[in-house]
Amino acid sequence: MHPEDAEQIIQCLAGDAEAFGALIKRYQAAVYATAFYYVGRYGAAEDVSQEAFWSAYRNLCSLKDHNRFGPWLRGITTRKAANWLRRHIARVQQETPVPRRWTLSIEDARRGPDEALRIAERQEQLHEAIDALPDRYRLPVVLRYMQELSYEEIARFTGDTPDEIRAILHRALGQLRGILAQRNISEVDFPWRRAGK
Amino acid sequence: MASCGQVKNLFTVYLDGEAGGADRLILEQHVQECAECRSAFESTRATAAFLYETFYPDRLRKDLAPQVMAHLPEMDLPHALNHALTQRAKHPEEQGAFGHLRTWLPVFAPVLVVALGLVLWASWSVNQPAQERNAGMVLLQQGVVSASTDAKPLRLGVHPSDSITTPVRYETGHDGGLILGLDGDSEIRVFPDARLKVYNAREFRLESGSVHCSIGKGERYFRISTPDGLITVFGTVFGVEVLSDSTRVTVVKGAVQVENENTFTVLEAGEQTLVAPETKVLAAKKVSVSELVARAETLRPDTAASLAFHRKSQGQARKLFRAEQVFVVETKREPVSAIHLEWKLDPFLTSHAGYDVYVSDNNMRPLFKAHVDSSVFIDKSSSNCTVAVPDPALLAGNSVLHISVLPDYTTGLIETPFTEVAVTSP
Repeated sequence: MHPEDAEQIIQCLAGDAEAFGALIKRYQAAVYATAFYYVGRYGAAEDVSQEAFWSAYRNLCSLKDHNRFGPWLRGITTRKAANWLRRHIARVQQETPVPRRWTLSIEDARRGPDEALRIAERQEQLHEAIDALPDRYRLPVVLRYMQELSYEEIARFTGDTPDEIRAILHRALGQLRGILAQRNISEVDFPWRRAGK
Repeated sequence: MASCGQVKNLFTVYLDGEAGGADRLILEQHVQECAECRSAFESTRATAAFLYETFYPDRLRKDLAPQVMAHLPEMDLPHALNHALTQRAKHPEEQGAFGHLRTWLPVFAPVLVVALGLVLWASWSVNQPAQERNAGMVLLQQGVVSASTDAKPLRLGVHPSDSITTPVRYETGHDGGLILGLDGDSEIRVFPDARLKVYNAREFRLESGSVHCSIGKGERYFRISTPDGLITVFGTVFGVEVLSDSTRVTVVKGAVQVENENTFTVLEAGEQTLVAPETKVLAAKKVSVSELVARAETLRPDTAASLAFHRKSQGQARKLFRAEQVFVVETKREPVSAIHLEWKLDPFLTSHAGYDVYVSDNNMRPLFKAHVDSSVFIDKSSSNCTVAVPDPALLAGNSVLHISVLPDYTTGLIETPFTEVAVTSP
């Protein structure tokens, strides 16, 4: 839990809608990543995120434990994404998913088009490897590597403890390496450029 | 120095920037010294970098807050109703007293229907003709006139504009006179020293004395019984006088059928007959009716009561039909031993009327009559019956027979639709 969650929720319930803005800022990365995890390939992550926040605001008074806003919001996001998929199932089933967006950096371009294509293929294989992870591992992996959330932030959203997240991510990375090695996929040698906070 | 296993556990935490100062130091030192761990660490770092790079393009870069806040919906308020609904949805087993009732509704409903049916059945009177109902209005009372019922034998006075609640018995004294207006446009003038019992608007029994009847056409025939016989009317004016040993019927207008246990006859206007219980042949003789009409004129209805009665009966639409069904059977002058009746069976009804069967020759002269009891119609196992002819020779020599059937409503009001009437020769 975030120490300020409960306080801001009470402010919201008292009629101060602006307090909800702070909650959005704190959780939007996690909500977006969760939505992306379900409906990202159909370009609906942003819509689903918005719907999740609106739904959370509308039903805020039904939240019993103000210290568990994160897991509650995660549940709403998951349901909104599932609803979206159900609503668009007919269209989604007929459509080829939008190819993942690949940004080619200048380094990529220097490597030539063949090399860029090779990287794209491997990234697609990495997504498949993530899909093969146990359910409980997948969301923390997406939250961590997509939005670079800290263990604390991930734990606040999934309802686990930071230590559990630490163990999950350690095991998930080990399993991913195993899957990639098994499929004989070597990591593309990216220069180390982890984005700073 | 930390073991390789311990250090490998720190790889992810270190790469994720979550390692504490001490752990960071241990790892960095170990990796510099251990070539195997250095290689493993580089490999893990490459995988992590691969993950970051792969997800990087999909990363949320904009702030969602402005667009969410711009269209923030109304917050649902936790008012009592909403709360109650939510609670009921969450705990469907915790229903109130009415909730339990609702659960048992599928059981209650048929039970309720059956109970209502029983109540209705119990309260349904089989003898509907005997039911108390308003049959008309007293239009004139003069002299001593009293009314009594079986339930209230105490004789009460009668006044004009009193309504006639049947069954009721009227008695007129030596100087008494009474006019009864019965529904269906009938007026009964009751002369002194008469006693009659009115069953309903279309039926009364003259026990003694004399009456003058003007019968309107109604949806049923009008029937008057006397100790000596039965008079059936379809709409006419006539006088009835109960004498010491017989009943005298005189017709002014129209036609009436007069009968006793043995025989029947139809009187036309200006005809008169005397009927006694033992009479075998009813002879009609021509008489002057002027005396009878003059006698009837001595009683004139009370103006106010008459106005009220006719105003009331004006609104009632009258349906005219005759319950009588007439069949013509060709006999080719052969003797007839029995008459067969067939009808359409109704499987449910029970309060049937019995039927009187009247047989006339081709000149409509009465030959004989018979009675079919209502039990024959109540018995649902058959839809036909046979009526024996008392004297087959009586019917011989007729080319055709007119057979008419007329319901007798004393046992019930349900009429029977006859489909076929046939005769057999011996």
